[in-house]
Amino acid sequence: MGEIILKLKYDGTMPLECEVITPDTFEGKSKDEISALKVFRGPEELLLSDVFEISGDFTCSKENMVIKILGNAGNVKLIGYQMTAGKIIVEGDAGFHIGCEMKGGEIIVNGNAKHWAGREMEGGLLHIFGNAGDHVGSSYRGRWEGMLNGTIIVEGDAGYHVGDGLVNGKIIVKGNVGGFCGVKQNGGLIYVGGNAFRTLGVEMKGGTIVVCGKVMNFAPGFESAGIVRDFETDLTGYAIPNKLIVFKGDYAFYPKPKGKLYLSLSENSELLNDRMPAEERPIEFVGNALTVVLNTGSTIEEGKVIKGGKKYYPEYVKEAAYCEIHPDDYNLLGRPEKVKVISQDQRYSVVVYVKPSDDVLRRNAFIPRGVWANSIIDALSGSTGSPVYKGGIVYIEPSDDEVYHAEYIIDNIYKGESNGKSNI
Amino acid sequence: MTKMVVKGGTVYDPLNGIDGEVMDIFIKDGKIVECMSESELRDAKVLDVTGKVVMPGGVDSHTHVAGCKVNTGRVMCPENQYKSPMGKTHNTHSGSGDIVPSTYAQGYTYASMGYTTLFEAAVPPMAARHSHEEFKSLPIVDKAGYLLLGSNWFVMKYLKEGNIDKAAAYIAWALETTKTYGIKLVNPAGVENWKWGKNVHSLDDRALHFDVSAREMIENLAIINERFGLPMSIHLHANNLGHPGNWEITLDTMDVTKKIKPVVNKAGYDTGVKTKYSHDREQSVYMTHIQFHSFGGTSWKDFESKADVIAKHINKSDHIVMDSGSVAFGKAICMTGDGPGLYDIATMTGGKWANEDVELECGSGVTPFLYDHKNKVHSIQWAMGLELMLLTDPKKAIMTTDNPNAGPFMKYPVLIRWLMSRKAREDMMKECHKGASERTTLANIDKELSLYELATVTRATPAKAVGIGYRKGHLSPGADADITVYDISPDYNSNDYMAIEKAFKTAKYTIKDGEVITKEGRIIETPKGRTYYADVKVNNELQNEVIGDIKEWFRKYYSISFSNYPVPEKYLTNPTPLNINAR
Repeated sequence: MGEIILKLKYDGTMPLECEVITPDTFEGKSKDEISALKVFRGPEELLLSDVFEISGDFTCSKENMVIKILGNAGNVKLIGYQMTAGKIIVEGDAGFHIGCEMKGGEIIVNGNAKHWAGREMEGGLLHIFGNAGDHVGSSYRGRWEGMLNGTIIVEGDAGYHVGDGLVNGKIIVKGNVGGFCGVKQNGGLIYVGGNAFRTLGVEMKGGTIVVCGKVMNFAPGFESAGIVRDFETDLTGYAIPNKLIVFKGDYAFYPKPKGKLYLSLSENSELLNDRMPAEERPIEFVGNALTVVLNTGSTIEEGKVIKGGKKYYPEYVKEAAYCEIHPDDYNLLGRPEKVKVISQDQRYSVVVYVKPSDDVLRRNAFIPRGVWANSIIDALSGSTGSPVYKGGIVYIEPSDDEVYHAEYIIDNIYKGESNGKSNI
Repeated sequence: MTKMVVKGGTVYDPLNGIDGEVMDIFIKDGKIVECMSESELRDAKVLDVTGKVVMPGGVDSHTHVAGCKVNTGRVMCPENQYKSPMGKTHNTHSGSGDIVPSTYAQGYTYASMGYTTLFEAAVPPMAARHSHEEFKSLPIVDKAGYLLLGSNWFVMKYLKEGNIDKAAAYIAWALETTKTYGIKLVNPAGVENWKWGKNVHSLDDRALHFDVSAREMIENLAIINERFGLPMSIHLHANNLGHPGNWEITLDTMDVTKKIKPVVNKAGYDTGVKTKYSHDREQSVYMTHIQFHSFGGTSWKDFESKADVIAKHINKSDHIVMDSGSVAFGKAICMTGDGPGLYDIATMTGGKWANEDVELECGSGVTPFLYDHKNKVHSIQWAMGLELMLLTDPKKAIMTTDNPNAGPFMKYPVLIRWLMSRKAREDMMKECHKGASERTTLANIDKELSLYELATVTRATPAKAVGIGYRKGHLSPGADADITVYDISPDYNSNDYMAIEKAFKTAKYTIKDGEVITKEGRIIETPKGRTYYADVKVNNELQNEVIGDIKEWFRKYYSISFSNYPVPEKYLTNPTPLNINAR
């Protein structure tokens, strides 16, 4: 075993593109040749020796090579890009795209890794001892196949979009994961030691996801297939709860999906009641406010009004600043003319008119997608630039306040927000 | 005053009957000339191409290179873009993309393959401005677009009223207003029905609310086309694309225009260039991507090729020209004005899909596709594309992949390899699904295209079919000096098919308007190409009456105003109107 040590000299904020840091590129090169490798900072070309102090043993074959990166490499991108053998140890943090498209060998990150760690990986092991960013082991923009094989282990938490389009291989996150975990998964295994959040396994066709903690905002396309004991699963060697609920899905997208979810029974027992009809959703008050599920979407009438960007007209208020609720809920709230709709984190609110309607289920609310709905929707963009408009929790209470015009909301609330002022 | 002699090459010029003659070609001021005087020869640049093959510049008469659906294809598949970057050089723009490259990259790649003239096969009238904006950044090549009129409300309304004169006046107005070249029909009447979730499945099915059948649309537009004497015939994407068993409707469709006489009214732009065989078009219908319309069987299970029947029918009918839409295995992006057709494909593959409704005029669909040689249907389609090219008379056949529907245009050399080498086909057939040999006649075809025939299907026939023969597609004196030199010996060995593919992948030289544009794939000059469009003049009184109707419908139904609709000439690079007097 021979070690090549790269000690970081660079401390700028602009990321560096260092796809050359792999045993494959370093193999058979002298110190001078390695020093002369090109890296990019934006459009500017630098030498590897401008960025790192390079020392060590340069005689090894790639299989026996260990590349050690000292210092905080959080702004060094693409370490281990397409590597096939050998080992890379990152002592501090690692930047974007670490181990992406790697085919073999091993990468160890002792600090945190930024987004896209191990994306489209084809083999080998990526072990992150800190936390990882979004898109761990996922597919890149536009592709539907993510990781093809190999193993990723994250000792801490991981962000959104863990294992998008996973085809094969294992992703083990010992902490929590963000939303959209295992979207479009078609094989392989995702293990989550902590909690998962929103749209877990949506559009899943095959493969397995295990969540040992709690799942929030569970996706609707899964059907429960009973309760199993830990030894009845094929998950040997993982720390899993002793009773698990099995779900199959995603039936919302495929007629015969083979995707399997194992969720901890003790943390998620309420999910067993997922067949409970919506009108049976419990009546929950928080103070004066009723807890409901908020849906939004564009309406044709609204589209007609704002054709040509006419958002500042009174017609727009009429067509978009209202909240449809079921007549029973309407009665529960005391038949108010206007309601205040409060976001789940209770930081934002907006006042709109009420329309009782049979089209909405009990304990559900509909607000047309627009300026008013935007004020209370959390900005989980899922990297699409468009917030998730459906299925969040909000609280509604009767109100006598004024329903603001779009212009007022945009000028005072949106713009005010960006100036650091709070809107409530 | 540029002068050049292309010296010592072996020339293939089908429209002049030149089949492999060693001769010099003289160029003066961007045009080909018969000969040069001693003094002119002294300052002429000499390009020695001894032992190489010389052909007229390539003409692609059916490709999708500009417009909103092409752009949607790019946006929809970033995975095809980010892994194929093309660096900027001192005279070229950067670019990217392997299925639908960025606009500049398309121009460079086409030119380095020896193509100098492109016809964008589908321009939605309302989005013509977008198409022209992309044309503007499509360097080097000359180009023109076909206007989608097969499900147009105005045309259908006037035909329903039985007023073909008004329909004609509308089309004349639309061609000039959108600066486009000719009439294109996509799934006539079907695209309109798609707006109501329906389609048409026979020639006599009618467009809802307009009560015009697909047959009437084809027939009447062909009549209008020949009444004007437009340079090209109607360009027809028939109904029922991509459905097993559609060969029957294709046969019927081809005969709709049988009795219509082709007329070319070229007095307004004729250059008087003569060729040995007439370069005036002889067909009254151009059947496009016929491979997708030659499907036999009743379902994907008993799917088979009917390419031989279709080819036989074309061979005996003088009023038809076709382009093949041959499949090259690998990734493709299907994009067409046929919204319902693409919906069917997208539901089959479960892939990404985009659909567009172009208000009163047409629609479109886009979905990525993978032609897999292990797949039965795809293998049969591959064989069909080759059968059609090998069985049809080269004077009526044009080689295309319907870029990028059956494969990107960069795959043309692969297609040429299969067409020019029997061994290449046999080797491919061993690898692909057995359907290719069992359900088609390809295994029994010994024919290998010669260089003369290749020049016919990529130069002479397309130029003649779209009516650009007065300046392109041959090497007669007076023609544009668009010349391609390929680095292949005239007595090549057809068994060494990889050498054939390599030779056609990158032209040794591409010459456009008398300038060497590319040398072995390197871009030397990047001139701006011409943009051709048909400027048809009809009776003023009638035209004004029709414009009155158009204005009313703009007020009522369009989301944009009448005055924002026309594409002014300033959008065009080197605008070249074809003046047609139809008063």
